[in-house]
Amino acid sequence: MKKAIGDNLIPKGWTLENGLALIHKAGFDGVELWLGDKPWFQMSATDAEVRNLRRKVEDAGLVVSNVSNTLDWEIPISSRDPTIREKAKQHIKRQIETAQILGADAILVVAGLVTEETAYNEVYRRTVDNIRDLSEPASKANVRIGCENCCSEQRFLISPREFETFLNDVNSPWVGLHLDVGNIHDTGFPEQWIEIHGPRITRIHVKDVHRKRGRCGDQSVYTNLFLGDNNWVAIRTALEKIRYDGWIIAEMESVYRYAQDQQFFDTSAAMSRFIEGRM
Amino acid sequence: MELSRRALLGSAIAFAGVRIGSFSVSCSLEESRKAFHGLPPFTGAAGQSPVLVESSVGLAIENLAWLERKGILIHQPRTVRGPAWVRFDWPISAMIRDFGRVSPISGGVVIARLNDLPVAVRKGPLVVLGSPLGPHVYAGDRDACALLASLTQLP
Repeated sequence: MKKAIGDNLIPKGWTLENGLALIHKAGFDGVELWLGDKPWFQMSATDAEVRNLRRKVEDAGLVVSNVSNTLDWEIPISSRDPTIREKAKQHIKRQIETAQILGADAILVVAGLVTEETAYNEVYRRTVDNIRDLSEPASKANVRIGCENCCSEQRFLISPREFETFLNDVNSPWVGLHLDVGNIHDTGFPEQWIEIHGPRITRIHVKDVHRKRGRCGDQSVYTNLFLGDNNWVAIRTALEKIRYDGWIIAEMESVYRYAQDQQFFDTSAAMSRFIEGRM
Repeated sequence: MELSRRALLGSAIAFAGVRIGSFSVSCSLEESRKAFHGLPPFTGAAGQSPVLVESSVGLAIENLAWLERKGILIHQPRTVRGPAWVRFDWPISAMIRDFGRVSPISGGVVIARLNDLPVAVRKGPLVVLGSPLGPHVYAGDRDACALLASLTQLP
């Protein structure tokens, strides 16, 4: 397994070059690039600019683990509005294109967003149809679409069997699960998601979670690795069982009040212990 | 026999067997029987055809005695805390979840362990499991299905 961390965690005000140098110095093998987050990777970026971005990543001694996006929350593919759905398809298609340019073979999308106004059943149908449509450009680009389990935030596909039914309905080998082991909260157990989805897992996001805290008040439910309630030994063993040997990507919240770069070193050290099974 | 009569009777469930072609299975769990298909009861005398014996929750005394005569001992079941996986290295490499309790087994070639504890052995045509496989096959676990398929294809 290789370890990566998102460029969205690069401290505010840092340049891309300094951020990549920090990621490399902290011991990561790769960087996850978030389309729509930092100024260096926006929808307006041309192919030439994306190639330049790849060069900077490689010059820093890293590779791109995958391409994610921050746009799905505002522009969901499950929207009732066809113009929004079309916009969503455009940014996901751009993710696929940029992944190819950046040398990555997987993208992350937040597929479907249930709200009080947009009900589960219609979200389900639209999401299956649109993700299935997007599997075609994905297959041509040799890039897998990993639909992330955002469970409580997304209010969609909350259980592993539900997610399995969704993937069965999409019915494409180019569409799988980008599993975030910190997003399951108290609705289940990540090691069970891993066993159920096995080879359909495209990438793994890691962070820890306080199961009992819930999404209330201003206290985050998320925390750094080994500080929360995830059973990391079980998660590691389940990954061994399914013979997962891909990317493990830190998706942390920036929680360090001082010395923000320290979070990179601490996270990298924890991930190494996880990968090596020293827990 | 280390398994006490009291412990055994406390957990014993009616013994039943199934036959898949020339492959015989003896098991006590309802889910295992469903997983292994409900065919006529196996009596424990299948000659040299491969025989799978699934223990852990309970076997009738006559079957434990039958195994003992073959030189295989099923020891006192142990409770497993938290999720844990039994690691098989024969006939294929597979990891199967525990089922809450496992019975250590001795007297044959060890084919699976839970941590350092031997929980499955083979001896001639016999394969004896101290941790149930059937419920995981019934639940559709990939490794469990692959392991069973591999066992049923043994010569």
